[in-house]
Amino acid sequence: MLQVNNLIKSYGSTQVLTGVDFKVNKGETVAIMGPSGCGKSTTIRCINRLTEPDGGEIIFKGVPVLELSEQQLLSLRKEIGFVFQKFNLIERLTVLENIILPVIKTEVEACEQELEQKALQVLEKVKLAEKATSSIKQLSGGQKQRVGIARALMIDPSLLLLDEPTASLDPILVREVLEVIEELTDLQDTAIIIVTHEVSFALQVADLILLMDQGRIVEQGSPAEIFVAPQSEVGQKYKKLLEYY
Amino acid sequence: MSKLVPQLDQIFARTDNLLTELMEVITAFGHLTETVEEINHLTTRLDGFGQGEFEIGQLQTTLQSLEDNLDNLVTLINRLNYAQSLIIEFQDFLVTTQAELRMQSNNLEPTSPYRQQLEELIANLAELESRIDQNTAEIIEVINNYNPLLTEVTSWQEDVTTVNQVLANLEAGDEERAQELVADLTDGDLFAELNEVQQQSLALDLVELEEEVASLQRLDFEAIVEELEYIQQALPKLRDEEITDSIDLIDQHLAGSVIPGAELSLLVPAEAELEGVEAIVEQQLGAGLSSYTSQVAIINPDLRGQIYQILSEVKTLLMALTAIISILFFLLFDQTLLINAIRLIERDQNKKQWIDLGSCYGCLTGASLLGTTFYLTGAEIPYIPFYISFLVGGVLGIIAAKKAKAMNEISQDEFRAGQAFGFNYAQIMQEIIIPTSKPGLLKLLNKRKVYF
Ligand SMILES: Nc1ncnc2c1ncn2[C@@H]1O[C@H](COP(=O)(O)OP(=O)(O)O)[C@@H](O)[C@H]1O
Ligand SMILES: [Mg+2]
Repeated sequence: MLQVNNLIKSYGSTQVLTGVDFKVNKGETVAIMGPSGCGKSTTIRCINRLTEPDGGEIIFKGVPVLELSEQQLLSLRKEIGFVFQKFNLIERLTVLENIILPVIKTEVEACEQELEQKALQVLEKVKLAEKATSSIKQLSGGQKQRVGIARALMIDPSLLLLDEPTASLDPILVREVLEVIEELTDLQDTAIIIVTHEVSFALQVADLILLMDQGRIVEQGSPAEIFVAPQSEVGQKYKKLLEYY
Repeated sequence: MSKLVPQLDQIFARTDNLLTELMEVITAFGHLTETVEEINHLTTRLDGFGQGEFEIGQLQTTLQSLEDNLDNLVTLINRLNYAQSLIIEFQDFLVTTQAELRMQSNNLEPTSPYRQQLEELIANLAELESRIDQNTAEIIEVINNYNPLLTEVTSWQEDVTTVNQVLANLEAGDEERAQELVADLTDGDLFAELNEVQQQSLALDLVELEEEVASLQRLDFEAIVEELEYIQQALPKLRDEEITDSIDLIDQHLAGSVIPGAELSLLVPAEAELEGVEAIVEQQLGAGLSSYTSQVAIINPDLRGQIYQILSEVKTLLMALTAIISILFFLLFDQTLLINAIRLIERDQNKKQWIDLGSCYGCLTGASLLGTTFYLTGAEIPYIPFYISFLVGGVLGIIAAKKAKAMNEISQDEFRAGQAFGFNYAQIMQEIIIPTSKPGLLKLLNKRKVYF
């Protein structure tokens, strides 16, 4: 359902992506791992073109994403949920309003009550129903990120992109977010691509793990096999890390 | 004063008019005496016809002559009446003019030299009034005596005419009937009355009267004419209602301010030898004098005009300042948001940035706003050409662009979130950026559109 071929991106003279290829099937969970600055964020931001790639091919549900018109791109983004590392919530709005905001401009004009109903259901999923009317400032980091996830779920995404969702959180708050994400991986209709440094979490929930280094995918495989005999330098480092625990 | 000055002009015309009329009245009195004497004489002759010797032709001639003389008399009396009405009217005019001058004078500071001028003028008018009163009192009395006679004289004249007509148609031998008619004519006591009034008018010393009227003209009016001309020349341009205020104002300034170097301008004909003139002036005015000569004419400043000019400059300057300040506020509070948004979008589209579009936008907006505001309101910075307002506006816009980040920072995170929702730029502005911005026109206008 998503196929990325030979994705290339450079900022000025520095090549950030040097040819990224991977494939995601329907309902699958893919974890992207790798050292900081290797191009993970750039890769998933290219998928809904928050970052414009320089070359390559992205096929989403059979549609070549890089050839879409402005208008088509906007509707594509309405199908893809995006969770930011720094939550990127709208500070001035309440929790509930933040969650409803992405769908107010959808073509199917749902009535306010329906939207609210649905938002409350989504909040239930991230275990924040009681915070519906709170303002964003009153939330902890973990709660904020769960609102971020709820907001992404509001559009019933067929693809959910999470860019280091726990990287900005205190270690004790990471767990509550990971628990929520773990539940999402059971969804049959939603494919998930998560960029994360949480190795054990990735091993536990991912169907496929991609290891990136210097703008390329250097190793990929299922959690069971990827760290058995890693070829790449990065893979070997991760293996050592696992042995350390 | 504006009403007064033309009114003062009238005094000359009216006075002239009155004096001519008075002179004619005096002449008329002379004729009056002649006429009454003639009538007297004719009546005596008629008496003779009534007594006996009768010659119808002669009688007719006498009657005809009497009729003519009576006609003269009526005309003369009418003339006297007209003169009387003129005198009364003129006296009224003098009284109202004095009252108006008094009002003007009361509006002025007591120390004002103009007030003194006006007071002098009022006194002169009062003097004129009283002298006219004195000199015409006798005349008017006599005229008043003639007045009741007028109707009687008129009816007598009619009788004479009737008798004349009857005589013309008289058959020969009807002398007796004619004699009766003539006796009736000379019978009334009108003639006695006429004689009595005539005695009075003869008592008028016409020569003396004539002299006095003539003296009115010579003496008082020369003074008044001078006074009027002085005032009119002193106040050539001041024709507004606030003239007295202006005079006061000038007086106060003159009274209060010390003029350190009084200046005397001597205008000499072009062919005069300037060094010579200078020497004479220095000799006459003595030490402490510094003199300079100049070929060019000196343009006297028009105080009122200058005050108006300064006021209008202040007005346009205030408008200009108001425009500049309000547009600076508008740029800082409203446009900074758009400038930031333009920069963010520009960066988002990741094109090569040769120029800062935000600054360009600010500059253009500032220039067009201030330029058009200046143009539409007529605001203006004195001595600075109009197109400078565009430059100033542009500079304001660039200042706003420089301060944009501090004034109205846009959260990039929220902007990215909006993009991820699939919002277009307009929707991101409307739903996310503008509602979070500082209060301003944009925010106000956006209020109706925003969902939350
Ligand atoms: N907007 C940008 N302009 C210039 N360089 C960028 C930009 N965004 C990312 N980079 C560079 O691209 C490389 C990859 O970034 P990123 O994809 O964020 O790495 P990761 O998410 O794997 O840490 C980094 O070296 C980063 O400095
Ligand atoms: Mg990253």
